Amino acid sequence: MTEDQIRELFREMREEPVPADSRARVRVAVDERSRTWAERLRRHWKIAAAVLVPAFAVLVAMLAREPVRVPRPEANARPTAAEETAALTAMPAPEVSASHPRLAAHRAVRAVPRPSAERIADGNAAGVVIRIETPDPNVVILLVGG
Amino acid sequence: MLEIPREASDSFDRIVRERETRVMRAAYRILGNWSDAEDVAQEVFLRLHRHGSSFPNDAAFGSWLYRVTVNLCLDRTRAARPTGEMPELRSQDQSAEAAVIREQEKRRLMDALSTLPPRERAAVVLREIEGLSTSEVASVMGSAEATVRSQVARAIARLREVMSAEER
Repeated sequence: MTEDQIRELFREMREEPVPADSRARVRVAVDERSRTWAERLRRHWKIAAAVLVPAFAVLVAMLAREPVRVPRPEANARPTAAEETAALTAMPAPEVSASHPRLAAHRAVRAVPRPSAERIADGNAAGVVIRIETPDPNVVILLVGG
Repeated sequence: MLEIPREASDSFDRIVRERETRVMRAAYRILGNWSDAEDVAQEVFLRLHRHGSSFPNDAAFGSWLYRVTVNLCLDRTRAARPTGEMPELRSQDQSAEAAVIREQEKRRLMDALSTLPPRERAAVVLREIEGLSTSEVASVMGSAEATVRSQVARAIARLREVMSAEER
C-alpha cells in the first residue's frame, strides 16, 4: 500500500459520521453536568411545579388541620333516677290482648328498662324507686315515691 | 471575537452541537473506541463550560478544542494498558463487495494506527484525518512545526510498513 492510498483512506475516514447515539449521550451528559440545580429547575420548571405545588398544598392542609372533636352522643348519657321515674310514669299502661293476655303482658313488662341497683341506691335521685322481683319473672313490682 | 457563555444556555448547546462531531471523531481515531471518545468529548465540553472565555476567532477556538481533546486522549492512552484488542470500526451499510473491502482496509489502517506512539498517532489524526495544517497541529500539540512534520512522516512510513506486511 502506498502513502497516497493511506492518505486517501484517511480522507474517507474524515467523512464518516459520528454515531447518533454517541452524540446524544454526550449532549445529555454535558447538559446534566454543566447545569446547577437552580438552572435545571428553571429549565424544567413545569415538571417541578407539577410536583412541588400539590406537595406544598398537602403540607399546608395537614398543618392547618385541627383535631376533630366528636360530641358524646346524648343517648349514651346515663339517665338519672328521676328521668327513669318520669319515663316509667309517663308510659301508658300495656294493653292486654284478649287472645293472648299472658304474652302481651310479658312484652309490656320486658319493654320497661330496668334501673340498676346502684342507680336506685344513688343518693341524688329525686324520687325513690324500689324494685321487687316476684317468683314470676314476668311480674315486677315497682314502688315509686316522691 | 467568540464568546463562550459561562452559564448553561441555548447558545452553549448550539456550540456543543456544532463542535461535537469533530471532537468525537478525533478522540475516536486516537483512542480507537467510541466509549472512551464519548467520555473525552464530555470532558472537553465541560472544560469549555468552566473555561467560559472568549476566543479571538473561530480558528483559535477550534485549536483550543483540539488541544484539550488531544491532551485528554494522551492522558487516557498513558493511563490505559495496551490491551491488544482490535479497535472497533463502525461499518457503513454498503452491500457492494468493493465497499466491504474498503471497510476492511480502513479497519486494518485503524489497527495499524493503534500501534503508533500516542503523540505520533495524535499528530497523524489531526493532520491527515481532521485535515488541520501543520502549523495548526503544531499549535494544538504544543510542538514545533518541524517536529509535527517529522512525526507525521514517520507515522505514515510506519503505517505503510504495517499495511504492506499484512498484505504479504
